Amino acid sequence: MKKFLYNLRHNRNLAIGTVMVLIVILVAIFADQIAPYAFDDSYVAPKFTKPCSDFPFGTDDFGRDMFSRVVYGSRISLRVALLAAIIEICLGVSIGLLAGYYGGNLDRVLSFIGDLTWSMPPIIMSMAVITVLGKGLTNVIIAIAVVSWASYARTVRAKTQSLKNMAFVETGAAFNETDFSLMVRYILPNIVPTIIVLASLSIPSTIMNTTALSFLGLGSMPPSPDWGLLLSNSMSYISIAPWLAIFPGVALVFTVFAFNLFGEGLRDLLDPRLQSR
Amino acid sequence: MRDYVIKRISQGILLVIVVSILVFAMLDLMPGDPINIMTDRKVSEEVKEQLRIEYHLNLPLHQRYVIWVKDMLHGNFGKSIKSKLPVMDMMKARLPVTLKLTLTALLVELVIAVPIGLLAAYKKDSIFDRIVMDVSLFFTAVPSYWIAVVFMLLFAVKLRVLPLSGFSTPLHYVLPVASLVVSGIASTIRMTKTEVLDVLREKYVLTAYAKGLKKKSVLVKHVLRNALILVTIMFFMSVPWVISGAVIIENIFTIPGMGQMLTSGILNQDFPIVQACVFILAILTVVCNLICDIITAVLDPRIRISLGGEN
Repeated sequence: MKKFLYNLRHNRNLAIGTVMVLIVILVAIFADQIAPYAFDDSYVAPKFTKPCSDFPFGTDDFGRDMFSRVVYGSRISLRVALLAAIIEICLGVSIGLLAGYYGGNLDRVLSFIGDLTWSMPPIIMSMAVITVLGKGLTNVIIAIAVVSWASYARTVRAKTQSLKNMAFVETGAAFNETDFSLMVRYILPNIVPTIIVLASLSIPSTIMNTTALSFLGLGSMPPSPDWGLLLSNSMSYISIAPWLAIFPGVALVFTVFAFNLFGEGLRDLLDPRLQSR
Repeated sequence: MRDYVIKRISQGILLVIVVSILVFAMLDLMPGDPINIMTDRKVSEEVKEQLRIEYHLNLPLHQRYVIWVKDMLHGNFGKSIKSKLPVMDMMKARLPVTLKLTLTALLVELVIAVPIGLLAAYKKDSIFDRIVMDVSLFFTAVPSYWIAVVFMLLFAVKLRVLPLSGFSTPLHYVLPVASLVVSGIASTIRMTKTEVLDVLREKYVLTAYAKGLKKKSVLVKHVLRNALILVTIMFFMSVPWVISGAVIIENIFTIPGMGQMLTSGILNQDFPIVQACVFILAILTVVCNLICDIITAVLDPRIRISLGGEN
């Protein structure tokens, strides 16, 4: 923690990123207090009211307050990022541990599956998964997680391979520890910092991909204030209400940029060797 | 060398086979009877039975897979459920549009990004480098579809200099291509810089300086030559990613390409279309990655030597 505070002062990316991420998290937590209206309160003002002091982001085609909608949208983005990260970590870390620890044919098969999902563009892959599962935000989260666990598996596998021959793991093996205990109690704790870095680096692309899918109409359904959905809705009114397109986008870019800075800063702090690739 | 190429190609073929099985199985992975998904509830059992035979759904899975692969090899991807048109004909009309859009975007991107990355690496830690890096870090955070919306707002709605959507004249290309370029250029610049920095650290660059060559000739003859390898590789590596970006951009600008076809296919649950699009994009990805690896092996002496050392 002391080291973290020290780095906060000396690592510009980490400092700015942390502040920005905190802002997003606080907005999401206190959305009820910050937003003057609920996200689905319609006709709080005439439709397409221009941004003014009462409605800083204007109102949309149902007279809903855009500011409130954008504020509530932060909850969706953060929840999506968190859930997807948890699924990805569970999948990727267990597969990486197994492949790295046992090696041999199991490793070959798991690495092949990993390379397969790794090499395909995530948007296309998740569109295929959504076709099978059906539309909806939950399915989008599952789809994104199913196609992006491979980056965790790759790194965890490589780390496990180098750790399993270390003296402390061999000592454990000499004391008749089971394979499971060796993986979870000896090797896993040493990979945790790497996993944290990977997670914070993958959050931006998770948010971008899920909002992209919502933008295409495959994710959140109206009246959800999902930023992707707000943007795709704004397209129909682009010539009469440009503010509808500007503010959700700014919020999205702010959030993604925040996690980018935070992730890169955290990487420099916890695992500088990851930087090379 | 030859062994490596053969090994990579057979890996690629294996990948394509696995993908084809996955894409084929998509219909059966769905919960519920495929026929019920395809048809209305009001359709009579007889018609359903007919459809079942038409789509070979009465046969066991492996036999259907064989039929499906045979059909595909003959260029028959089945008929669209919605429009009843052969998927192949739709594909023939749409694939060129997508390829035209993505290749133009990629070329423009590389022409802009590579010199900037080269200069940023050469003048590392200068003001130019720092500005480029900060700006590109910011641009990695901006999604392509928002750039597209902002561009539309600026150039089509406010200034009215460019058309809002469609894909008929060269002017229609400008905004979609620009959106794709802006969203992809940041990572390309950063990648170029990292790679060129690696080259600059090589011993042969030091040797070139040591034997008294001018800075400029070192940069052009030694560094740039190796950077060109990188550009070729980056070109092929980016193709799948630019195409997946194009899926979104096509929807925004209502460009009649494959991305739009795929999206509307998913929204209408039109399986033959989704299967064909995903499969073709997957093959494209595998082929590009393959070309990428082989070019690296052929052009990069270091990898060539390490491969030669194996046999």
